[in-house]
Amino acid sequence: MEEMKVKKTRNIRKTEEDPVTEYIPPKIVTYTSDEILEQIGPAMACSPDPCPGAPG
Amino acid sequence: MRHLTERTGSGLRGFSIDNNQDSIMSFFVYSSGRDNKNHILFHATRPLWMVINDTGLEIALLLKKTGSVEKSAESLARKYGISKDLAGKDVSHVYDLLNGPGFLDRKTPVPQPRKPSLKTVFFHLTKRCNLKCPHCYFHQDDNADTDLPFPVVIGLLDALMENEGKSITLSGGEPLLYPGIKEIIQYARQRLEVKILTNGVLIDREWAEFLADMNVSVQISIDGSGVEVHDSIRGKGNFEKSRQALKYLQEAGLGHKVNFSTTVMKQNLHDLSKIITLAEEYNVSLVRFLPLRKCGRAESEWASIGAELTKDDYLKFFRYTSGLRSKGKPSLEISCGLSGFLLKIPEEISEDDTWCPVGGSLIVDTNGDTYPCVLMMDDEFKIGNACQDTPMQMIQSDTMKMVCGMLTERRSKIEKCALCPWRNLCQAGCMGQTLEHKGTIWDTDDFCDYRREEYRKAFEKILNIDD
Repeated sequence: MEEMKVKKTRNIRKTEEDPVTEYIPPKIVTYTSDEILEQIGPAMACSPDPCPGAPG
Repeated sequence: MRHLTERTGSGLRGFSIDNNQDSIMSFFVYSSGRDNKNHILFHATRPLWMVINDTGLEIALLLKKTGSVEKSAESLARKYGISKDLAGKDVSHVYDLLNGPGFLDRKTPVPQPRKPSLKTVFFHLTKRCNLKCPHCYFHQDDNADTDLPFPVVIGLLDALMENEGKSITLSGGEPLLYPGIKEIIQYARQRLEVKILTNGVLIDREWAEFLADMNVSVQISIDGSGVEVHDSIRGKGNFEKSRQALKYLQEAGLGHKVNFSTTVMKQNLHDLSKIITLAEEYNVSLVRFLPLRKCGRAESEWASIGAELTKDDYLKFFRYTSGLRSKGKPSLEISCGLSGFLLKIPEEISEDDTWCPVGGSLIVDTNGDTYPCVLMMDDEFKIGNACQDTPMQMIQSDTMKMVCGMLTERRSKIEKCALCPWRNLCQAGCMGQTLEHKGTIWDTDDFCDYRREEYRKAFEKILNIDD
């Protein structure tokens, strides 16, 4: 148990000596299919309707 | 971390998944080779993805590893020296966004097959045609007795309307030769969208005004931009007649509901840009380029047509149309005929994550035989006969359910798809086209490399969109 405490203390000390990594808040972005068309153009988002491979 | 097959040279760029034995693969990650702090998080089994920054990804991996918002927040607070409150708030935010669509499921989700439901009917009304194009995918028969019986058509329209179906497509042969065509259109348009596929040769001013009055979408076959190419494929004098039809349709006010259908072949490969120009000239909204099919008359005259394109021809063509679109030109929509390439399933058809319309359509041949897809009109896939079976019997048939199951299973059962990170977007491509070219649906077409190239370009663009 003691040994573990020592190790823990060492770890904390080590962390305290290191510069803290800058925290950048998480960011998540989703796109609608219309937004994809606007952002990167229709070449990248072929419409499946009408079916591209069938005659009608 | 281990890498999927898409990984490329640098070691930083490409796909990776968490290889923790305790972790179940419910998402994987695409990262750019550039110094980009953003990544794409892909769902493991659904066509869903989102852009996520370094911290978001770190939290996602913590959540997947620990299965706990609290533990993940503690870990985050410890690493960055931030308060537990702030860490808890940010982890909860990421958890909410990822957990809903199943990015954090503790077991890999199993895609459910589509439940068939009647939405559209594609009618081959007649085998008769006023033209004799050698590349036609249909077997022509000039005997009117081979037409689809009129009462069968009306019965299908009734069923479609009763079941809140959306649309019908009238094809042939040449559908304008079918005696009851005007009655069918008048009856259907009460509650259904109507589309007609025609060579346009028979459309005079009166027909154009009727189609405009009925608000019918008209697809006209145009295989060349002028007399020389079009008539060499479709017969002398027909370009001028089709051009005249376009003029009548424009004058009747139906321009926005007209589209071109062009079969891409050796004879017109050099002429495709001029076809697009012609479409612009007539304010056509869409040009649909379709690959030449080796069936019907085309199959029996394959050698003499000499029209088949090589894989390289197709690739050049796909890149050409892709280039046109990326420059924002032309103003009309172009469909290059390559199925299975999209970044996101449009919201209006995304209810079951599948872009292929199979499961919602009845494709009715002139003898009443009915199939799930125009490209799968083989006995193996026959779901009934419209002269004997009710539409709901056919839509709910075991064969239709089997086809829907195959549609869902292809991307996990075709070996090269199971290892491909783009599989949930392309969904193994079009099974009908693969059936025609490979003789089986348990394979892909020859354009996987092209799709990968386009997907990479697209997601690199997305990763570099400015805030």
